[in-house]
Amino acid sequence: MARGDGAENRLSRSREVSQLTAKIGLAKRHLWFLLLLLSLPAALLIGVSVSQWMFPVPDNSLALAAQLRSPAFTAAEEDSGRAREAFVAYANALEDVDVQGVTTELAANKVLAWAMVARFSVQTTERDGALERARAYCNQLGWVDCSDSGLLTLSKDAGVQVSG
Amino acid sequence: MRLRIALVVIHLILCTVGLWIGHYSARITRELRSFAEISYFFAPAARLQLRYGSLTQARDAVKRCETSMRPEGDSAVFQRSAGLMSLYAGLALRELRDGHVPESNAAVAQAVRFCVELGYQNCTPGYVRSRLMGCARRTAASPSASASTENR
Repeated sequence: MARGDGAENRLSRSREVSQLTAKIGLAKRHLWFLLLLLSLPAALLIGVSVSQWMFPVPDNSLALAAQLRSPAFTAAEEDSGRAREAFVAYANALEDVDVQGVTTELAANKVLAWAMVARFSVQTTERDGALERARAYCNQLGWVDCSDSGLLTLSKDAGVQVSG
Repeated sequence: MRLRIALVVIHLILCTVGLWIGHYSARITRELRSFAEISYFFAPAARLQLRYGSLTQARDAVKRCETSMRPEGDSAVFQRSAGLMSLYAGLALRELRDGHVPESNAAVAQAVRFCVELGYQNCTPGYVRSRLMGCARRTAASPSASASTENR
């Protein structure tokens, strides 16, 4: 009787073990499937990352500043209250440009940008400050008329002369 | 086994697609930056020099524009040629005003060159003188015109 019980116990234990093994096998298969699914977008990301490494786009403060120019002039055209704000953003972006070999072009654009800030400034202190900054770059370029009136005239003529 | 091969192939395809997406987006970014630099930085600076700088500065500015503008993509190439055509026409006008006729003619010839590059018809010195220089002359003569032309 006791021998029969022992055999039954062994049989049921081996059945449990085989069931467990089957479960582990099934879980493993599911895990692999899950990992494979996750690796699909990863492959895409790896491709993008490798291409970014192969074809890098340098951080270009110059182009970023240039992109602010058109919105500023649009605001000026609409003569909205945002014009000053837009030109301040543009002028500051020009100040942040860190590109070698474009000093002259940078100075010329800064003269116009600060002159435009002055044109749209309501407060005298802001206007004078902007004119001072414009004058500094104007003098650096050696332009003939860097007076307040000259700079304000320049800001008014900007639309014409820039259109060429 | 067949499933594994299929999965490897799918991974390789996705990697290639990723590479292409990255490359294409980098190209678009570079093209946009190049376009912005040409349209809103180099060309306007040269126009300011043409108007407010000395003749030497004006000449240098146009020359520097020609060498500094880095076209990337078709739109930037077009922008560069159109900008340089207009700048040389402006320079021709400036040279003429300062009494330098041969230099003015040379600038007109350069404008014609860029006009041809753009694929326009009637790219002759006469066209440059009558249309482009005429346009530059009119804008220079009307300082009170609005900033609307800026945004065209």
